[in-house]
Amino acid sequence: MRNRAKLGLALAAMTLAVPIAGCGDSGGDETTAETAAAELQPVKGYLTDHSDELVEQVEALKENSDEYYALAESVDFDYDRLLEEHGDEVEEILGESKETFVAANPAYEQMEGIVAGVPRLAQYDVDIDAGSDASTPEDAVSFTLTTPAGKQLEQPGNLFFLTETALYGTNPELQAKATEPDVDGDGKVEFGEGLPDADTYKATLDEFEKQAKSLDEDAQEFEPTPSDALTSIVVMTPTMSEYFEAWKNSRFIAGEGAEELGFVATSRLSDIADILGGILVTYDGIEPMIAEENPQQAKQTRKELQSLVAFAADLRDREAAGEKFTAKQADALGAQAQAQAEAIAGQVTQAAKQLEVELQEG
Amino acid sequence: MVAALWAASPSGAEPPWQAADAIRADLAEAQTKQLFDEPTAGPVAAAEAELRGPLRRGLALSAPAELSEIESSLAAARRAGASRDEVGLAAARGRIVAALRRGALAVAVAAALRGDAAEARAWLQIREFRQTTRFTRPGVDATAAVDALAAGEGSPRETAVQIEKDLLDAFQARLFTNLDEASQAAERGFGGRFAETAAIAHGYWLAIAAEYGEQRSQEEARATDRDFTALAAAAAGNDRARFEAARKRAEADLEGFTAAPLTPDEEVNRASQLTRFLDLVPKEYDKGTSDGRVTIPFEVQEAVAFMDGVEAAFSDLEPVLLDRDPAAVERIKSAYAELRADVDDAQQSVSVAPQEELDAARDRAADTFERIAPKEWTEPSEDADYELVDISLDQLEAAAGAGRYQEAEQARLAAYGFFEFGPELKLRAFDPQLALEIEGLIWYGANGDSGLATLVARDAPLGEVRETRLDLDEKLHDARALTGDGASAMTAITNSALIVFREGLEAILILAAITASMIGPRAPLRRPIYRGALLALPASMVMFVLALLLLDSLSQYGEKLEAAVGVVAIGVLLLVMNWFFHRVYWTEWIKGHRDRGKALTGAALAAGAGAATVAGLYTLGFTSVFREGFETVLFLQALQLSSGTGVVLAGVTLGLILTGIVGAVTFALERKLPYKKMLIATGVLIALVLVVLVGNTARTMQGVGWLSIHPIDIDLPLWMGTWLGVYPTVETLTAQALAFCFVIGSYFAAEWMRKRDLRRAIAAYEEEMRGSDGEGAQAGDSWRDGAAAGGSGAIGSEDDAAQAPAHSLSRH
Repeated sequence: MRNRAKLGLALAAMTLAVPIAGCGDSGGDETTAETAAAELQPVKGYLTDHSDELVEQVEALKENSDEYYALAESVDFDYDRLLEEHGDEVEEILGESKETFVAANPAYEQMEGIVAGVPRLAQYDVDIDAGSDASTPEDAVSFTLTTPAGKQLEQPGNLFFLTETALYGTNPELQAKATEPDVDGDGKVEFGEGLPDADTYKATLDEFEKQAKSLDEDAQEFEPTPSDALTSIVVMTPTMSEYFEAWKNSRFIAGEGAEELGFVATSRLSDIADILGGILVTYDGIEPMIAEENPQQAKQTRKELQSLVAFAADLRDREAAGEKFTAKQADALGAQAQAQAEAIAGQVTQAAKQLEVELQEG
Repeated sequence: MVAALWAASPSGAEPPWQAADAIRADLAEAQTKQLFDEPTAGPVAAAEAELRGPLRRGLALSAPAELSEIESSLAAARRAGASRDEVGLAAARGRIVAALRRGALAVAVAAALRGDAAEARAWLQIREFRQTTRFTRPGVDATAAVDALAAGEGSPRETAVQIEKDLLDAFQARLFTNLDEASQAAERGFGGRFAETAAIAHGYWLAIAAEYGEQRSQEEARATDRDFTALAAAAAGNDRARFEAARKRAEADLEGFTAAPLTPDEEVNRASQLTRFLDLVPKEYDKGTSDGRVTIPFEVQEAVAFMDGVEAAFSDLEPVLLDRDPAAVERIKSAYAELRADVDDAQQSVSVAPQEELDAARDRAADTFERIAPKEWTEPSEDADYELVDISLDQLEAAAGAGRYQEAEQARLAAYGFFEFGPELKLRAFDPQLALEIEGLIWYGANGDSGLATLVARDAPLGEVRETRLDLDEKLHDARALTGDGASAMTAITNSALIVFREGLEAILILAAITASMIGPRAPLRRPIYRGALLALPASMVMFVLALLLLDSLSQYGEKLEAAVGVVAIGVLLLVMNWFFHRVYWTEWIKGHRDRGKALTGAALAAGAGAATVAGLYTLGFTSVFREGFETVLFLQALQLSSGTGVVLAGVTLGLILTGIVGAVTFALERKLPYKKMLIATGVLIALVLVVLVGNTARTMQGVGWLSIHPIDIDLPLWMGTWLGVYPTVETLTAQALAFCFVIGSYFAAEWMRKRDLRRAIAAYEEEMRGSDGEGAQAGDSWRDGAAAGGSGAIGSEDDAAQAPAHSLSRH
């Protein structure tokens, strides 16, 4: 299951995220608050740009799912007939859906550092990208899917996971039953060829569209505070080892024996780089305040964050260029990233203390 | 490949943290290159080059041993890189990282002792941090202490102590996480990581070794040192078996040792947490299991979470307890082990142990702990209550997020319970408005935010729940700051006096409302009420003494007792009102006038009222005041805990004097007020008192779970709850509506009965007139008196009656 452990850590971090001295967002006066708000506007701009893009991509995915559902319905959900009579259309719809998915995923991941790190928005991260299914209740998503046929799937897992594993066929429970999903009609079923169960897939995209739009609306209303910015960095950065663990267990490293059903369309490394990029944008907003209080601390944290971002981006690019990593390498690289991320979280905690900004608890 | 990414400034004058970070990054780069079979000479040489400038100078001055270790390990790293020795390079990096941090601590402490805050701050940037988990957080004490030093608010010595405490705590915590990581790496066959983490653990041991030697003995320190050296060597040789054996010995050496001992206040706080967490383990288990099976997994999860809390708190307190009674510590740990096994088995659906087993283990652990713990540890602590409120709110959010609103409601009630039975009383003494706001946010809303009860009842999305939670966190934070600081004697006296005065005024208001109409012939009826009220004063004092003697049990049942007293007060008030309206205002009046020739004295009326009535009036007076007295006792109990009995008694005396003055003035004025207006006002006031009393009591009953809760989604201002007892729930409003209907109903019932009897009187008069013209005048007087008695209805009839107008028949 995608991201379960990360969610656990993030929630744990939020739970404990330090209630540091001072009450309210900052101990500063009105002018300071206004200055901080102005400096954090780019964070909001970044968030709304991405939430808007996510809505656009998810709408496209939903449109495809509606078309796919209509086709399946026209043959009474007989998927053999579907491939036989509408094979080309199905291939085109699912092909387009995969392309859209690959675009939608980074649109979200790039803002995940903010969405998951700010307690007021964090539930969207659980439902869209990080939550597990009902088997681990403490990390599970909040929604229940009701399909057009009336079937109910209670806390089925996060929406990216459901969409990806349905499209790429890695989760048998989301696939059309009793059908050889030879979508491209080349006589064999290759990895990544998925024929989603139209009923469940449509319900997934309906929910996805609803959540994406709701997130976008909340993002438009969101006015980031220094507390939001610092909390999101403290909450999100120390989860690196979990990301690397997911990467290690994914198909990109473990190959056929991968335990992880997700991360088949995009490598987890790509997510890591995107998430860190978002965190860096947040840090850009808050850095002037930290620098005012402790310039050396601000400089150190920036340097460490930048090097972490570059480290992840470099690995992503190497993998994209065809380099294969071993589990041992993934483990060692993950440990390095984790150590650095924890140092960053520690430094930001100190900065929050000096700024008398309270880190949010959840 | 990643060299550019980890790049550091080559400047020789760079601050120490920058050089230290560059060394760590260069060596990481070398390791990464080694992973990809690339040459490592460049980054290792860069790391060696960074050991210069302020970093080298500072280490040479305050931490020469660390500097020497860094130099030799850098050389070892160079050799390992050249020979493609992955394990050797990793072990060298581990030693260097640990030595840099140890050295930085030494330099920061030295700088602090010199009073050089800037230098101390610069070196603190090379520090280690505790990992953030549910029960721990990165320390900020060192940063805070250095800031205080810079601001001239802390002494160099205190600053140095705080830095050491914070950093030693981080080193010890990380020592254990590195040992865990080493074991994991060994299991997976990752030699480099195995060696590096073991080397770091060894290096962190060296950081806490001096403290260990001081607390235990130098001999023990040397033995432990041998164990850590052995485990690092075993890891460097990729010998898992030897490593595990040495690790076991090293961990046994460190058992019960805390490098950064807790302050006495921290100990009390941890002990209080421990006690509460331990109590909750079997309670949650009981809620989550039944007849040998798990019925509510969420509750079992909570039991597991609280067990985690017990173990974490105990490990912090263990060193002190070991000094006092090592055998008892073993017994406690064995009881914990049983509890742990039981809750884990239930959570993993392995087996469900009988409840008695957990209760027995809990009792064993708690009794032993109480016996050996310092006395101050076993007294209640508000900080622990706040932590429990936090944990419960976390659970509420988790449950709401998962759409399990029933569980969310349980967690909400738990949070409320911890607040209500813990810090609320004291907070209400210090800042009643803040207490109300917090209560409002937990229940029906405050400050424009919906309350959690309302949100949970309507299955609100997590986003909305979180909005309220954030606001609540802020308020709880303020409350903690307010009540946690401890009040000065003067503040405590003022607060005690204000509490007594506030509650005293409420009692006066109630008594004044009830007794206002008891004038003239009914004035003697006041006596039993006043006597009952006076009796409530010593009763409240007895309650205060009992509260001091039975702190725990009283605080446990405080609100239930308050609810029970409230119910009795309402019952008596209803009975007396009934009697009041129907007997005194009307029946007794008519009866008295019919028995013309009898003197209608107060004594006769009191006698006529009967022993039961007098007892009722006694009870009314008593409960009216005792209810307030009881509340006062609960508030004062909280203040007494923090400020002492003498201070509280001084405040109580002051409050009583003020209340006495206001009471005397009120009752004196009451006698002089125009009677008819007073009677009308009395009727309204009695109705108001009843409605407020009913609202507050229903609300209290909801708090203790005696009454269900169905919130109504309307935003009522907080003062309506404070002054009118109006809370937006179906139950409280219905109860108040019923009480109001009762009052109005009493009035109309009295009216109806009066008219009915009047009609009868007229009929009888006409009958008499028809029968005998000569006796008409006498009969006419009779009905006129009867009509006049009820002239203005049950309330406010006496003036009319006294005037007994001859034309009163025409008014009907």
